[in-house]
Amino acid sequence: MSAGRVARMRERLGRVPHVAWMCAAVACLNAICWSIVTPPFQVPDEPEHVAYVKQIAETGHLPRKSEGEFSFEEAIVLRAVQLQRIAEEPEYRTISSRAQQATLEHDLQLGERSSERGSEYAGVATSEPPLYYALQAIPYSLGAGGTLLERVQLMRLLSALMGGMTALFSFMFVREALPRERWAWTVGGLAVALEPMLGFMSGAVNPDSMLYAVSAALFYCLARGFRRGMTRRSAVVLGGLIAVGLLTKVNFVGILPGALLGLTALSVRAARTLGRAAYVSLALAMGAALSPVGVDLGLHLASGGPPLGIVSDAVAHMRGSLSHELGYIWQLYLPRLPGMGSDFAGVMTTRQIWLDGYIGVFGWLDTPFPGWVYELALIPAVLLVLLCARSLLAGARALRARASEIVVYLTMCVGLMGLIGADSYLSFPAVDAEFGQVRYLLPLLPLLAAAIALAVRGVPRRWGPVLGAVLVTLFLTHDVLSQLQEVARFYG
Amino acid sequence: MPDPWLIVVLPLWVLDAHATLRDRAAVSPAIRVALACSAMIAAAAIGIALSRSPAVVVRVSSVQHVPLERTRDRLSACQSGEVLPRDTTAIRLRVFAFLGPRVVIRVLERGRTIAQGTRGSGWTGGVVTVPLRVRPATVSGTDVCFTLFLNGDETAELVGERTASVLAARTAAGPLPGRVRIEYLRPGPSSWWSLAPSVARRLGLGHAWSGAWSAILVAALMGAVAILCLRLALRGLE
Repeated sequence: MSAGRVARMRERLGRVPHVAWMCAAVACLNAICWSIVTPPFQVPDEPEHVAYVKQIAETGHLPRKSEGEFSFEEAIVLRAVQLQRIAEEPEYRTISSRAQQATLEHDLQLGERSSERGSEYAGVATSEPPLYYALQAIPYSLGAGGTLLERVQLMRLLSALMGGMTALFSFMFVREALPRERWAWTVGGLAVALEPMLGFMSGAVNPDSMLYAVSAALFYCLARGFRRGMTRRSAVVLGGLIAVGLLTKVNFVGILPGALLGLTALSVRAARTLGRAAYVSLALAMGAALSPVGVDLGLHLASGGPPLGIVSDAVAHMRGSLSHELGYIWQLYLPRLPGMGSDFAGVMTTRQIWLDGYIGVFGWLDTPFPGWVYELALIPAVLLVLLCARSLLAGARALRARASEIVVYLTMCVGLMGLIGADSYLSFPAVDAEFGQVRYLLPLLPLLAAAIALAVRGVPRRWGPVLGAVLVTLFLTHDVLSQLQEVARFYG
Repeated sequence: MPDPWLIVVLPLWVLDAHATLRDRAAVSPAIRVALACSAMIAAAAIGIALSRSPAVVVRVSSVQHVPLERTRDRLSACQSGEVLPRDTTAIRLRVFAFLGPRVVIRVLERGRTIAQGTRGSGWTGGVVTVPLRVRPATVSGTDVCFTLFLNGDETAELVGERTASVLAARTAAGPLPGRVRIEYLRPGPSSWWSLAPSVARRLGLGHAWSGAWSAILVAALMGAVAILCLRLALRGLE
C-alpha cells in the first residue's frame, strides 16, 4: 500500500469519533472477558464451528458431512472437557480436580499427535458459507503449535474483535440516524457494547459474531447514504458489504431484501442529481452484492445438489397453508390477533422468548437467571419502550420526511424475523419455537442502539444525559451479573 | 489474602481518578450525582448477589436420568415416597422442553399440601426449577405432585428412572414408566464471597491456559470495562 493511501486511510479513521473507539474497546474487552469465563465448547454449536475451521485450516477444503463424527483430536478434547455431561445438565460443573486437568492435558497432547487432518464433519455448520471460517483459519494456523484449546481461545479473540466492530458501527449508525443529540450516541453505543448476549456470542467461535458486525456496518452505510447521499464509492461499499454478509452466514438472506431495497432507494435519490451515473453505480453494487449468490448457484448446480443449497431445502420442506404460517410467524413475536389459531397458548412470546432472552439465557440455553430477575427487568423495559414511543411521537414530522429510510430498516427487520419464524415453523408443532433465540436477532442491534438513544431523548433535555448515565450503569450491572451467572453455573 | 479484584482494580481506579477530577469541572453535577448514585446501587446489588449462598442439591429422588415419557398434552402426576429436606427453597424437575409450559408443584403430607410453587411458561432446557416456600423441618413420606400445563403443541419429555409400576409416578390414566428425577435445592453453607478462591481455582482449569491468574485477568478486564464506561459517561454525555 502506498504512503498516500495509508495517509488517506489514517485520515478517514481519524474522523471516527474518539467515543466510538471507546465503545468498540468496551465491547471487545467485554467479549474477551466472556471468552475466558465461558468454558470451551459451552456455547451453542461451537464444536461444529470449530470443526469447520479445522477442516479449512488443515485441508483447504470445505466440510461435507452434516452427520458423522468429529475428528479424533476434537472428539478426544470434547470428551476430556466433559461437554456431553455438562451441557444442559446444570448440576454438573466443569472439571475441578488436578487429576481431571492432567487427563485433559494428556488428551490434548494425544490429539495434537494425531495424523488425521481436518474434519469432514461439521454438523449444523456444514451448510454455512465459508468466509467467517476462512478468517478464523488465521488464528487457528497461528496457534498451530499449541493445543486445540489454545487455538479455540485464539479464534475466540478474533470473534471478540468482531464484537468491538459491532459496537463501533452501531455507534456510527446512531450518529448518522439521530445526528442532533451527540450525548445520546454514547448511550446507544454502550447499550450495544454491554449487551450480555453480544459478549457471550462474540466470546465464542460462531459466525454470528461476524454477522453482527457486518449487519451493523450495513446499517451504518445505509444511514450514511440516506443522510449524505450516495456516491459510486459508497454504492460499491454497500454492495461489497452485502456480499460479505451473504458469505458470512445463511441468516443474512433475511436481511438481503431490505438491504437491496435500501441500495435501490438510495440510487433513485442519487439519480435526481447524478442522473444515469447513479444507475451505473447501482448496477455495479448489485453485481458485487449478488455475486456470491451466483457463485453458490453455480457450485450447487455443478455438484448436482439443489440450486440454492439449504435455502432450497427449506422451500422444499414448506408445508401447511401460507396463512397459518404467517399467523405462526406473527405470534412468534407478537400477541395473537383475532381470527388467528393459537400456536403459543399460555406463552406471551414477546416477553417470554424475546425479552427474557435479551435479559439472558446463556450456555446451551441452560444458564438462566432466577425467575424474579425477568419479572424485575420488565420495569426498565416498559419504561424504555414508553420513552422511545414518546420520542417517536414527538418527532412524527421528521419521521414522515424519512419514510423511505425507515421502510428500508423495517424491511431488514421483518425479513430477518420472517426467516427465523419460517425456519422455526419447519419443526412446529413438535418444537414450538426452535429458533426462538435472541442471538438470531442481534444483527438488528443498531436498531436497538437507536431505540435506546430515542428513549433517552424522550425525557426533557436537561434530564436526558442524567437518564443516560443511569442507563449506562444499568447496562454495565446487567453485564457483570450475567457473567457472574455464567461463573456460578460452570464453576460454582 | 487481599481480594484479587481489589489488587487489580483499585490501582486502575486510582490512576483514573486523576483524569476524572481533571474533567470534573466540565461535567454537569446532575450527571455526576446520577452516576455516583447508580454506581453505588449497582455495587450494592452485585455485593448482595455475591453475599448469598449458591443453591446446592440436598437430595435426589433417582440416580438415573433416562427418557420416561414424551407428552404434548397437559399432564398431572404424583410421585409418592419422597422426602422433603428441611430448608428446601426449590425443587428441580427433570423435564426437557424448548419452550416450557407453566409448571405447578405441590408437596403433600398425608393428603395435606405442605409446600407448593409455580414456574411460569417460557423456560428452556432439560430442567425446570420451581421455587418453594421454606419448610424448617425434614418431612418424610411425602407425595410430590406436579402439573405441566401443555396445550397440545410443544412437546415435553419427562426424565428419570425406570421402575416397577408400583413405585412409578402416577397420573389419572395410570402409572408412568418410572419415577421422574426430582432434585431438592437449598442454599449452601458458604456465600459466593467465601467460595471465591475455589471458583477462581476452577476457572483456571479446563481452559487453554491453566492457572488461577485467569480469574485475575477477568477481574482486570471487567475493571477496565467499568472504567471505560465511567469515562464515557462523564465525557460522552455532555
